[in-house]
Amino acid sequence: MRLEGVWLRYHRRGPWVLRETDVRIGPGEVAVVLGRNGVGKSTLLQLAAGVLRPTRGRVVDRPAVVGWVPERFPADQPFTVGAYLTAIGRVAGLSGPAADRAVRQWVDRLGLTRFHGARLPQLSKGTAQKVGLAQALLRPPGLLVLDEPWEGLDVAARELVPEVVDEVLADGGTVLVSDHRGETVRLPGARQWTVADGTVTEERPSADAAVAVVELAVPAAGVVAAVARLRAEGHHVLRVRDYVAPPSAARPDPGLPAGSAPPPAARPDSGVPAGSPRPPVTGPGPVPEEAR
Amino acid sequence: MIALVRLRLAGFLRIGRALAPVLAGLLALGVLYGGGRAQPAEAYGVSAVVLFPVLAWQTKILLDVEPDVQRRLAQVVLGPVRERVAGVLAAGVAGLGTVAVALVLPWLVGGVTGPVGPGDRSVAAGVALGLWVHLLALPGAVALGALASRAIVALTGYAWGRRTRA
Repeated sequence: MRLEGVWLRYHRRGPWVLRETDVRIGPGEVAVVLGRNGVGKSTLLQLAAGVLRPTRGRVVDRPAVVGWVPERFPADQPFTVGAYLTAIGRVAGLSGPAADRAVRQWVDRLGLTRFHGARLPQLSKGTAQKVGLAQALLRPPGLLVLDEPWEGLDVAARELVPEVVDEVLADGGTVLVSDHRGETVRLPGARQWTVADGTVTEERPSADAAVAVVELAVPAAGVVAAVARLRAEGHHVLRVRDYVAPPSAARPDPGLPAGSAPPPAARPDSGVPAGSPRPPVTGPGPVPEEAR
Repeated sequence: MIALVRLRLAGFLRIGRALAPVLAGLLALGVLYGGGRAQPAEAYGVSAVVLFPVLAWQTKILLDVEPDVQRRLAQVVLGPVRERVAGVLAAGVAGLGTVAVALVLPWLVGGVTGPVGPGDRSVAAGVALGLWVHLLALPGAVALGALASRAIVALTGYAWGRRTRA
């Protein structure tokens, strides 16, 4: 899909929001749209989705099935979640049973089962956003346009967005995402489009993807299992160490004489041989790990 | 496209504002038929003229009830042409409902009679003529209401109205 020489403004005497924009993206690719507030990220996404038509220039080779997740789902409609999604499924061309199946699948996956019979105006912002996500995915999209999809979502659903993106990419679809909360680090290998001053500049991701270190606290009894699980998921565990409370919070615990912490469970790769002297544990606390 | 027509009709009928043109129409028809008995053909002719603005108003409400973002979602799914046709069709169906009410109402309130004099048409012919004249008024009224709806009045870009942009 290509945007060729696209210019856009909302009113004849208004400012040009996008000027001479040329971008291209192919199947199986994901692009993250970045920029300040009000610069035109949503505008670019809506141009790609086909909601807006360019004032000059054209959009070429847009896939047939487009899923657009708007920034704010329009929840002031007099329908229940199930009825709305089923109706959208039928509008999208799915037959009755197929629409029901698709709706049920996405309602379950997004955690909307409790709200199946709830009316749209009664939903919270995050739940309404989930409905917006579901309606775009009822048919497998060739182009998925996500406008701030993480806004208002709870932890479980936030993890779901990169999964959904990966599925769409695996099917040969294209994904465009905008986000300003930094959640797009969850999409490694994404192209970066930065919108500023009416232009879109693309930055290629560096060859070695940026790496971040996460400090994680787990209960001491479960540290072996936790390390095994992280490794199984493909993370690189740097080291495992005892939990040391920060100095400002440290206080002598009268019930715990120094050096009487229980011996640690065997830590296979921590590089610290069992039984070697350790700094005293200043309080009963979980054992943190550093994982990459 | 039929599914979108049904969705829009459902959204219209569930909104309290759908009642306003119906009440206005009933009021106008009540005034019309309160004056005494008339032949169906003539009465229906005037009724069609009275209903024209009511049908246009009803069309505008039906098309305006849907939030802008929802209309754009339908555009993304169906394409702009089919989405607009679906809106016009939904308004037409709603208008047919009003026309049906207008055709039946005078018989209920006794505003029309069967043939009285020698030259009068039969009831069936009168009703058929009445239906025809209402159907003549319907497309014009729907077109007027559609042109007045927020989707068209906003022209380029997004509507300024009380619904803010997406």
